[in-house]
Amino acid sequence: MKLRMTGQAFLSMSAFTATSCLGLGLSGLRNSLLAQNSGLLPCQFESVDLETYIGITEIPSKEDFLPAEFRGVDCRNNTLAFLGLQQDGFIDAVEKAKSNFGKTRIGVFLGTSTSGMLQTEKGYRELNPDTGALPPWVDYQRSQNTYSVAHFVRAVLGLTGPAAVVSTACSSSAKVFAMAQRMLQLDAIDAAIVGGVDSLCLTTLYGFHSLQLLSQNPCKPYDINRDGISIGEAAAFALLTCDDDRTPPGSLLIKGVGESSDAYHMSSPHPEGTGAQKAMHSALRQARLPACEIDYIHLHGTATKNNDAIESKAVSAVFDDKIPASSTKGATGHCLGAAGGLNVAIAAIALQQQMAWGSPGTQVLDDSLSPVHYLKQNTARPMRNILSNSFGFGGSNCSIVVGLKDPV
Amino acid sequence: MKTRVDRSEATLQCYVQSIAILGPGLANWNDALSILSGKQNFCKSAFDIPPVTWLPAAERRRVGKMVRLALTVGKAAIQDAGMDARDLATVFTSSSGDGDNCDAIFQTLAHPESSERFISPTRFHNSVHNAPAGYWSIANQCTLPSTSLCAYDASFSAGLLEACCQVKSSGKSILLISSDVMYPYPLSGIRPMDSDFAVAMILSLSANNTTQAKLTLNCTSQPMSRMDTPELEALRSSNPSARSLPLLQVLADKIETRGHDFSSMVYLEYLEPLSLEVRID
Repeated sequence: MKLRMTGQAFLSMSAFTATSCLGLGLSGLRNSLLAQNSGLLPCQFESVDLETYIGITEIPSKEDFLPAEFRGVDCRNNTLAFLGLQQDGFIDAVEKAKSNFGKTRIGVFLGTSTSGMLQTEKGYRELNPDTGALPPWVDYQRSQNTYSVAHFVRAVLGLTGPAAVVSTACSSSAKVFAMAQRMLQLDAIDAAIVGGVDSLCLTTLYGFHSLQLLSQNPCKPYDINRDGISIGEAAAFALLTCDDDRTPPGSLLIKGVGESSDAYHMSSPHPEGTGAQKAMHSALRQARLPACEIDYIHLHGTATKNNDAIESKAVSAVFDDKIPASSTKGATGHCLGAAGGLNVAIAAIALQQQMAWGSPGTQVLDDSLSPVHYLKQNTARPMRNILSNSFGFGGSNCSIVVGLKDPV
Repeated sequence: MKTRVDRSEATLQCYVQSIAILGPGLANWNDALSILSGKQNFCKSAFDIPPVTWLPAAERRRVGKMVRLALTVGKAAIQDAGMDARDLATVFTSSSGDGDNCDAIFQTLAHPESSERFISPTRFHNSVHNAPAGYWSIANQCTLPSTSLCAYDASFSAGLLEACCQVKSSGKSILLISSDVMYPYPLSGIRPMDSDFAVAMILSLSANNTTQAKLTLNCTSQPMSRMDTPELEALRSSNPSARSLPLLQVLADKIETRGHDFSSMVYLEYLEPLSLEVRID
């Protein structure tokens, strides 16, 4: 009997939080989404001189913001992670899980694309003129290394269980839900901290600029005049356990996570969106839901010409065009390695508020896109299940079904 | 009622179908078999990472050491098992990522003038940690799920654990590729590695006539296993992917002795205070 194998047990998301340019924790995010505000501002970040908009988070620079044992490493990504962890009683929820399950039975699986590499970028400007060495304040393990954020979060939370960073570009923090799901269902752990933390740095701003994918305006998903992304930063976390009889009806569940690869191109999605379709179908299969049971699709919707055209093609191949759909990237920017985790948080708030989100920034819908019932404005409607998409470079696709637990 | 499998179902167990390796003095798994089982001496020697001739030409021009190393061992593992890459989901794990590419980007971004900070688009898309996974899927037309992990010095164990969980969850075979390349200076000054190293394994849910061993994984607090000789121990500790060597040594012993009742235990470096216990049968 494989009672706890894939497709049987859902995951309960008993606590979650998200911090982004829309504010600290869920209250800022919720209020901004309800007011249909955008957090995007003209780029004023570090020494970056690019005409673009960014979703920047107010990250405290006070020396004593971090607990004493974590000071001494100036890592924007870890400071953002710490700021995010302080919100919405998330640490209390983790403490409760620790007393229930023990600190070695809780996994930490986080997504990031650039970890704390901003510090190394700065270090390269201050190489020792004689030796060419990096300055001593560049801390490889605790900032530059891709794992640094999970190392930091595991230490801050006092956890000693399995951990890893998933780094698959913009699908990173969606795929951690699949990783946690497998470990939970196999009883390798009893609870998991998942999510994503990605912070602004020069590599992504100048990198997307080189690909000519940065918009000079706040991004406009699915708009006829969309011309690229706005980069944001965020820290999103969720506490997951296996769903059981103790979880009351109406609780937030992760019902399915679908993954696939495009096998097409490093930075362009498959023209027919076949990989994206495969990920969506797989998530629906795990959730044991027909496509018509999805009440709202939270799109990846980056506002590049290509992404939105191909995502709409894939979505319309899987879903009826009456299902409302939208991207919230016009509000938060594209938070890259944190986008998947942030998308799940925004989907969860949509379920709590029974509100399908509009699309700040989008003015005139591109009617050459495949038929999708795209929402420009917030729309109150009864919702039980939301599908959330995240797609990344290297053709990495991940779709998640977030839903409410049915009454018994 | 808790919908939880009984312990026997949940045991993290999988079968090794093939192994590939590329490291200094370890040119392929056949050589490694004699060296790791003690029949032949280990002689650390520099090696070249071959070009990936089977990548489409457009992609072949764009890939650096990291992608070539990962794809080379991946291909060798597939060929050894006689399997089709399209049938295998993949887990890539690496601590380093592509250091050469990273260094080039950082040098470019260090220019004070924004106009000089022009990163080539190829450099940028190659900077993602899942670049080897992307190229692998393109070259092999594999649309199955793929993940790319990092866990610093525990990256191999994290990858093995994830690959085993995927095998148990999906019931399907999987390709695990762990690879780390040396950084160029100045990154090498803050993250020294003595050599490049990569290992690949195909893992499956059940045994067949090509099965090499059964692995059973468990997180413990036992001290980690080290290599018997100073030379191999130096290699193990010099590259995160070479943290796999204690497991590879026992696999070599088992295969070389062809012992049916062979059973051994190793403890691989994982995340403090844990080590990853691997029982090899």
